[in-house]
Amino acid sequence: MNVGSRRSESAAGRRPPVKRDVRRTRELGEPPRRRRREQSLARARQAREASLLDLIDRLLDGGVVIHGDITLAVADVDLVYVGLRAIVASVESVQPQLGSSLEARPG
Amino acid sequence: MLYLYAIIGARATVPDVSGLRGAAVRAVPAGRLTAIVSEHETIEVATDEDDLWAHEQVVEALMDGGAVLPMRLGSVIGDEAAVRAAVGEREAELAETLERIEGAVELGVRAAIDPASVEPEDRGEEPGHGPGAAYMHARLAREHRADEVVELIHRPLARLSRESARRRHFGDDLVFNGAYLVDVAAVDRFRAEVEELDAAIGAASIVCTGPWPAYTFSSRREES
Amino acid sequence: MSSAHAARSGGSRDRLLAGSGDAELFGDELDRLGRALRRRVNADAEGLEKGLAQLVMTLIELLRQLMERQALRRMRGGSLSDEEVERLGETFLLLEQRMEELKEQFGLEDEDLNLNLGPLGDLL
Repeated sequence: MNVGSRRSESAAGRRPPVKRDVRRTRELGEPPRRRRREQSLARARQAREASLLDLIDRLLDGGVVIHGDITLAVADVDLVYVGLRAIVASVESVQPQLGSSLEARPG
Repeated sequence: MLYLYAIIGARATVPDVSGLRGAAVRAVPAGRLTAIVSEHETIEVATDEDDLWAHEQVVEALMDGGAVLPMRLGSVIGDEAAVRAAVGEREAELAETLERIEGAVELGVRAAIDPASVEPEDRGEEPGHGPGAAYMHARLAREHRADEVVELIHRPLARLSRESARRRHFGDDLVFNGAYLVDVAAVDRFRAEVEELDAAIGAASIVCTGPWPAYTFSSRREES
Repeated sequence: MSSAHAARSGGSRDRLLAGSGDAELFGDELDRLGRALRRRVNADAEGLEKGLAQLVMTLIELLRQLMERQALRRMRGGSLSDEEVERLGETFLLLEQRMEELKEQFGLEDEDLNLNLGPLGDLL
């Protein structure tokens, strides 16, 4: 629809504002070479972190789960997290019930 | 106890790679399929970098020889007989999944949407709208715009993939997390597309990671 | 063609294929991961109390988000009357206000209102 794409276009034209600057604080007058090196180190670390994030996500939430005498041999404390996440997931899928609890009641 | 890494088709050799805690990795034939395991007296997997990458390393080493169904982290089973029984129970389905993912890898795409770009200009105020309705309409408009941005990203990438799925993300609508099953031959094209989209769509910042084994497309869950 | 062609990265832990990931926008998620991988120890009593308030409020925030999303879905589907929309909106606004008050009371910031699920990152 036209309105939609126009909106997207104008959205597309805007660059995201800088949200936080904590990691990018630099002293004035730092030599450019050192700054570039720091930036590339930061980028490399971000790349590894982003990769780890996606790996964890897949290892804990994806892959084959076969039944039978299988036990999830993940450390206790992590198991609590896995369980909590599962609860949240099941809440998400319980939509109809949540919906009905929001129904307006007469009077 | 046997720690499981992956399920593959019938295969003669196992790659020279070690598993968790440096344990040796071996194959357990199970009907038409093969389970790849390592043996441990007792094992408790910690979700730290080393264990995670040790598991991943085994799965990826197997990919050289053909399609691989990666196991979820932490799958431990009693003995080989138990492995055969568990795998045998789902042999047909697992074999079919293997076929589905043959020749493809999984790529992950995350996008963060700039809140300022989806906040509606008007506050949903309309004559006859109380403050509650104004709030709801503004939220709806915001969600709508976020969906539009996500479509701009997802559609071209889905076209380059065999299959795609949204990975769950709780909370904020402004984060998109998608998984794409992509032919190996199309990976470079996919990467280029992500770069183009990241540059073209100012409202979103997009990253792509991979290639991964087909974790998302091996699990049974229905993704919307 | 072997599916490994693109897969073999020689054990590299850097799998970033494309996109620069504007650090500002992804900064939060990456920070969370950093915190998630470090075990946190909560020793003192005050810390514990703050921890509980944090937990409770994060769960409330989670429920609020789920309910709001559900309400928006029903709004989209047209199954809510104008009156219901107004009432729901007012409820969410009120809840938001109440949350702000509680946050102030417990000295919590927006960033605190997130349940750290350890290696799973943050809940929200």
